[in-house]
Amino acid sequence: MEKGNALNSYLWLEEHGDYLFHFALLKLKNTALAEDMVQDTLVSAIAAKDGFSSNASVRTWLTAILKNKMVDHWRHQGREISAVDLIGGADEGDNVDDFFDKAGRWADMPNAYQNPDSALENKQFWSIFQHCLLGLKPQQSEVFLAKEVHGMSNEEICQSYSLSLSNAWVLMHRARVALSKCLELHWTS
Amino acid sequence: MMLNCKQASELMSQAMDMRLPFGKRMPLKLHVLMCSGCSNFMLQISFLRKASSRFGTSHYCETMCLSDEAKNRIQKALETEEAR
Repeated sequence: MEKGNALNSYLWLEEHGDYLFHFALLKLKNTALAEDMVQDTLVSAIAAKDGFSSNASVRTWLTAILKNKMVDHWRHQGREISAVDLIGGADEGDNVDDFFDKAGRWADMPNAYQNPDSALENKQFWSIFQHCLLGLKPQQSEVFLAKEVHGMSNEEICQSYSLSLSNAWVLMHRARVALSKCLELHWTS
Repeated sequence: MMLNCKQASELMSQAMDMRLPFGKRMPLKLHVLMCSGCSNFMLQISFLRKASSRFGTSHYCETMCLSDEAKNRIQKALETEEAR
């Protein structure tokens, strides 16, 4: 992206606001605080425009500023945490084994969703969808949201979350299995 | 190569994001043909993709998207900062 256009702060909110909000919300679990973080991040980014290298994606750059804001916030609360902790690292465990038996067969066979298309018009469905997303393990929901909701490429995801490509595949698979099952259990049209 | 359901579901998940090499595509097709659970899973993850892409732009995204109030407030803060 051209540098001039990339640094138009009015586009940041439109193009990256929801992404930054998700990112903060999944870590902070507090809507008002996550909104404040997004605002702080974008305001600081205006002052820091000179530091933007056109090699980076704007989203990656804004996310880095947001991570620093969150680390500062936790420091203020007396919690020692580094930016590295913020992007996972620790293995969350293999919850996918809950869904398969030892021989690798489905513990519960997936069933077809009933009337999936009408679900998309149904308010109740969307609140279940959000409930299921928030119920994923943090790294899984981050990677799933980045990919499927925000349309980020695998390269961008690996860079933003410091993941190898094979880690990213594993997280996507776990997220998809867990989400499918959660929707199947909770959504009965 | 005989796949079990766990392996098949891993490949189906990858296939959402890339074209699998031939040597993986064929065993996967065979498995899915014979396994109703996995063929349902394939439909489920395609549906997940459709729902997710709709979700980001929909007014149904309530708790997980910035509200209009928040957006307006942030927009104002940005304008103030830009004017400094």
